[in-house]
Amino acid sequence: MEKADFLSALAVPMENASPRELAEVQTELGDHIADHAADLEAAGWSEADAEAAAVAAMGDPAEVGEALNREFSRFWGAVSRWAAVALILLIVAAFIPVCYSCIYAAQSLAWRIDPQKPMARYFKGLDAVPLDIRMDGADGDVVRFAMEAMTTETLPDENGAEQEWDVAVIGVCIYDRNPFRYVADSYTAAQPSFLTDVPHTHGVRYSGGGVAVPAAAIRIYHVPVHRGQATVTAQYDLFGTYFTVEVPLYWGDGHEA
Amino acid sequence: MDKNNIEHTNLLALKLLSGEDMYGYQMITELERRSEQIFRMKEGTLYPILKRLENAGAVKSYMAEMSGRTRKYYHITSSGLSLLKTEEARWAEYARGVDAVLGGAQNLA
Repeated sequence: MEKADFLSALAVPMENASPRELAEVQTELGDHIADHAADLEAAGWSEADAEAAAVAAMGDPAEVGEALNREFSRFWGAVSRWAAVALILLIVAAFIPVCYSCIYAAQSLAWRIDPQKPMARYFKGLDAVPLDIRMDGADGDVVRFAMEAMTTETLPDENGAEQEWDVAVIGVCIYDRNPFRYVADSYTAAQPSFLTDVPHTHGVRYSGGGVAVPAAAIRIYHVPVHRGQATVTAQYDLFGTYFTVEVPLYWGDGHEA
Repeated sequence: MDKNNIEHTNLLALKLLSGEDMYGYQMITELERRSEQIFRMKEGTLYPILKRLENAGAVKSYMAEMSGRTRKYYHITSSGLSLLKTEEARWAEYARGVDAVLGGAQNLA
């Protein structure tokens, strides 16, 4: 029998020992066999014979394992295993908020570096142009107008008849300057609104976006506009912070009207 | 008889450790040397005995490096020294009984 076989057979009856305790016992008895074999080799034995003799001198691994197993408490063995599981769960539970904060912060940082990326899927098939208009919002927020595309959409007129209207699709990203802080208030309150005087439509609608993480938000606005209109007005009013901003409209080829 | 054998193995293990801290293989070789090769036990059976003595608080184990190798050493505690005295007294009593029987038998012969 080789040393590895002895140590494996030793482990079979040791069900009361925890994995750590079993590993310690196997290390200790493995060292014992190695020491004995080294002495035999020093006395002129071949390596293989020395190990075989050292293993044989240990006795029956099943008997040794059973005798050792009796010295490990079944109760404490079970308790230690459950305690280990409980400890792992507690550590995981304790780290969940930290992990979430880090994930939120990472996402928030990624969005402020490249706000067009999370918006891209809402602009598929449109000739989108990047914007970079940044305004100071409430409570440390930044309101960033980041992407725009001009398109036409079929919307009902005052009689309910379907008509084609020119629409500016504008992507806005809001984030707190501190990536570990949340966007002020709810994301809907923290969003700007767009003013439109195009009649007989359903007004401004949203095609997507919202809170992906508490520390950053995006929203895609579909603002009905007049053909050739130069800008569209965005308005923000939250916690005493108020601003309006004229967002330029790019009518084809990326050029302003 | 089995009970005595077990207790006597405890006695031998504690006696070895009363001189110096030792690791398992060192105890086996020292036991063979001191007994002039009379005591040859299945070496693996030493470890359940050491574990039982450790559970009873008679010995403590610790890891230490010697000659570049880390080994598990056993140290006899004050409780182990008390147990050793008790075991030695019991052994002396047992040996006297055996001697008395053997002496009686020799007298008969």
